[in-house]
Amino acid sequence: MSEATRLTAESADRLFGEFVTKAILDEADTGTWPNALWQAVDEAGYATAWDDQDRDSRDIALTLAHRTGWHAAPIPLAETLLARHVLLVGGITPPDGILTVANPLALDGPALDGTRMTGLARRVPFARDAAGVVTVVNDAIVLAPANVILEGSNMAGEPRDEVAWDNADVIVGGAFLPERLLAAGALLRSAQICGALQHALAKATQYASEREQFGRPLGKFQAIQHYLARIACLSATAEAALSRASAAPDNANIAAAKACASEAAGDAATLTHQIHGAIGFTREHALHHITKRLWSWREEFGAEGWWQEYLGGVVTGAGADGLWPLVVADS
Amino acid sequence: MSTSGAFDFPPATLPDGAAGLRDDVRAFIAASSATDGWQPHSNFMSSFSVAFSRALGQQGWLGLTWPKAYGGQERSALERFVVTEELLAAGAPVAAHWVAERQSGPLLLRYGTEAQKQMLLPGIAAGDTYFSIGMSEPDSGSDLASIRTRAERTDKGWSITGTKVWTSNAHVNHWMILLARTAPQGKDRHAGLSQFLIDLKNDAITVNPIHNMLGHHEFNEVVLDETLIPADRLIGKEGQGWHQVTAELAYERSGPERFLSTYRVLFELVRGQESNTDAAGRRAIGKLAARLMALRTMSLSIAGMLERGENPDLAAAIVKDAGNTFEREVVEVARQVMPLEPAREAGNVGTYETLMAEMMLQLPSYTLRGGTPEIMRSIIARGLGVR
Repeated sequence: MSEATRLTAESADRLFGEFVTKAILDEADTGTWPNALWQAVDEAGYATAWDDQDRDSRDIALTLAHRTGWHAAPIPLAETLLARHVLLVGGITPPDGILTVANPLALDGPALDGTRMTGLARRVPFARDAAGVVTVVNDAIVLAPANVILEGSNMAGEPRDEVAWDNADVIVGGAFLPERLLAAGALLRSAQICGALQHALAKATQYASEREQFGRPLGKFQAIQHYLARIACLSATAEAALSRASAAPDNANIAAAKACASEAAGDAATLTHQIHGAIGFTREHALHHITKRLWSWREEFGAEGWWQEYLGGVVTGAGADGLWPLVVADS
Repeated sequence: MSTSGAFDFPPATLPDGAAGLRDDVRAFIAASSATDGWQPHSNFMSSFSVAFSRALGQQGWLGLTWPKAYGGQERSALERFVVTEELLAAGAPVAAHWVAERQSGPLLLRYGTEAQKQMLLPGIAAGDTYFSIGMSEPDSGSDLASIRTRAERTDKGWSITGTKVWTSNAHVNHWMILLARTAPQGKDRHAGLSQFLIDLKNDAITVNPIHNMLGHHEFNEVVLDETLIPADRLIGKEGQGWHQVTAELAYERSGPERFLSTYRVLFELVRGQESNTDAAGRRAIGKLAARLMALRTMSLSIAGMLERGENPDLAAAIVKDAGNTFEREVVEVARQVMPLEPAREAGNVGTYETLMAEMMLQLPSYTLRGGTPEIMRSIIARGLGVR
């Protein structure tokens, strides 16, 4: 971790530690926008952290996404970071405020006629709160208005809205492949999942140390120790794949990162709940804010199956002799 | 990006020159395979070739990180990592020198006397001197501290009595590093242990073969009955054996052999699927490739820790446990994607079928050698602060 990313993580942990309270999470779960939290994030300059194209900015953006994941911060910071970044790559000046990204795989036939667009985007994160939606149409970056026609949410209560355009005015920017936007979204979600996995492990470890049954802490039982070790292995594997993809964000590395993160999310959530017993299943306990996000994020911007199939295509395409060079690439 | 620190895998970058070294190793392997006709096999303990190990020694690729005075090259742990991962991925016959170069040499370098280092390290680096591990006993497997082999001081040296088992290649190797009790077990069961050099060719010992379930002779039972060895065969300090053996086990557990043992199965699977358009097959291969890429990044990170002189025990336990899980999954996934009946004899079938048979029969040992998953998970849990 570089000095800059370490400082970013510390600053984000302080800010989120103060603003992402249990009360804020409970309210967000039922649809209340955490205004004070977003204002603090905005004032800290987080939303514009990936405006530059260099490696340091990317690392800082991924660190911020990672920490939003750890804290379950119910805000579209990852989406805004990505939207601004992509707009700037495409030569479009990002509007101020919250922005979001429509997954190119969840578009319903947008037809682009000059700067007029007609079509539909499904499950757009926080569209109801956003000043604009960024996506890719006809291999070009598009900034479109966030015309929400139907509000929806994921399992964690995070807005996932349907956006429709009927001959809407849009801004069309430079060339960009839909796959690249999907991969960038997957990379950010991987970082968020990795943060949430670390928090799940921390919570499970703490609970196993405090909760006593049969006259001793749960952590004294070998079965529980092995659950914890398994979560640690899942978390470490996902982190390693993420660090590889942050260093060299090509589609194969991102595919591996999202595949490992999404795969780890389900198993780690199951084990973390098992360790927590019935209290972890209550609304009162904070665990569900983490696990609901793990279950939601593992599907978004491509579930593990999607990226495994993608990576499998890369591997079989390169052939048996190409497999090892792929594994040791970039180092 | 961890802020917990409990299981950090800091990214490692290979030094300049690693790419050239990698190319050299690949070219060497290709030439050796073409000349000597060995069949690729990624289980590092399966192919014993004196000629191959000596040739590697001549290249200067054994003991790469050791001081030049002892036959080393004074290069980095990351460069050694490149050499080892290339040998394993290619399935080269590395069994002869593997243990000596991986853990016996580093142990001697750290704890051995000057005379021991001068006597043994140059031979290991040359690919001439091979070592066995003398830890397990008939009644002591995972519970290593319970060993009963006794070493007693005599006026001429040490008298050792006890039995070691699962001693791979003791019938062909030159030396064994033996863990023995030098003081009765007291309250601290880790105290009173010491390590000794046993000369497998010349000391008064009995080596009995133990054939494994494939019918191969790798394991042995090594019996010592008041075996007398000179005083200068003690490694390190008397009574510090547990501390030393823990360091030795970290070398044993930290390498890429802990997730690459079934790599050749994955290679043959991909070869068999090159022209397959089936999505489920691609997904299965992608699942394995993703995991392999992550494990390799973790393993490289451990090499970086070794290079910086950090203790990789916890990280190594994680990679060994996750790596063993992966090795097994490779075989199970391959069965689903390419369901061809495994075959012991080549006969009329291809490399894949014989490799699958060999791997299925070897797999039970992969989760035993170097420490069981049960032990690894306990180490990880302790690292998390429970236990």
